[in-house]
Amino acid sequence: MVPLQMRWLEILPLGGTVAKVVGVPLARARLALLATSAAMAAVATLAAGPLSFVSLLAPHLACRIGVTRALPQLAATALIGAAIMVFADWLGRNLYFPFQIPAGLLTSLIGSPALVWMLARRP
Amino acid sequence: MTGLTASQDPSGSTFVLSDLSFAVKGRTLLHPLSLALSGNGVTGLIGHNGSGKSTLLKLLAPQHAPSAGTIRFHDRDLKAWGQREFARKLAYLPQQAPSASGLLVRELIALGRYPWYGAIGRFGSHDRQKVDEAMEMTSLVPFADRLVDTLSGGERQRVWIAMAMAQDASCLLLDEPTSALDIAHQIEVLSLIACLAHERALAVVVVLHDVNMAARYCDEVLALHSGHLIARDDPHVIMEPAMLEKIYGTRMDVVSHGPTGHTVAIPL
Repeated sequence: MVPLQMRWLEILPLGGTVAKVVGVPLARARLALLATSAAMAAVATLAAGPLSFVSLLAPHLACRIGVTRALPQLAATALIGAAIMVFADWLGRNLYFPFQIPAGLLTSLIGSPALVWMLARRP
Repeated sequence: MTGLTASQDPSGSTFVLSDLSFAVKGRTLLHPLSLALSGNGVTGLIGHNGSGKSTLLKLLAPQHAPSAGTIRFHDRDLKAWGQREFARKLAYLPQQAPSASGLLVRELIALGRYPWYGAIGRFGSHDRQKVDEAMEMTSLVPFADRLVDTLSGGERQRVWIAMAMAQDASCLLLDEPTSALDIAHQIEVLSLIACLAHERALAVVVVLHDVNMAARYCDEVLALHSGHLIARDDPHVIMEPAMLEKIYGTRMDVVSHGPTGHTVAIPL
């Protein structure tokens, strides 16, 4: 999916005007990207269950550490997201041993305040 | 070269406008206008603020759809052009270029090749060669691996022009390319545009605020006043006190600078 839509992901951040100038079919590209990401999120949720806020937190973190271009950001987001989940899972298993706290609950508990804080800090 | 073949159009005109008008919310920004814009050289659009010069350029780009009338580009209705096909022929530079955060100069210029390789095509050696050419034309080779965001205003404007050059279009529309530049960079950017237009036989339409710059670099000047085309002539005809007063609504005097032969308009 990514190679098919890579060019659009590179050009669209420059804004609608520029995208139109170089001949990107704006409406079609936006719809296709939206549909792809929605479908991929749906598949991931089906497979792993609802893990809130990781998807919101990881790309912003990637942006924060200075990865702003489409492809590197995609890779960094995947890595950061995976790292957060592994950490949350580990924390969930050890925090209140021998009971387990679901990783999804932990990410929501920690992730949502973190996200709000990051959004509030943005100038 | 594509630029040359494209300009050898049978009709000889790049744009043919018939009864073109544009209105928003009952306000007419451009009154019905019919004209033909010919092939090569630099055409300047001048006029007071809100005279419709940017609107006209956006209709040609086409960033806006006209309220009425038609535009023919290379003897074909604008609506009949495919988006990528059109992008190979025409490049437009908006008044405020967007920020290109995280992109290197070379990468931004390479995006200008999109109409040629498309969404899934390969960026081949021909594309690379065109990007290198565009950087040479605009003297950007030393900046190739710099971030666009770290460049000065004049350099950044050159990058956007280079992107349009990489697009390999035969027609270039520029909306006030010098509005944020100091006098030295205005000269630099406009002489670059004029030089590219003549060397590569491009049709350039440029919106300019400064009538002196328009007179110096344009081959033909179109003057608009509140949505009407009021004059279309050689720059030296436009540079007459009576004409300038009609265009800008303020009294102006015109003096000739001996050593350079340029005429300069001075508001009184």
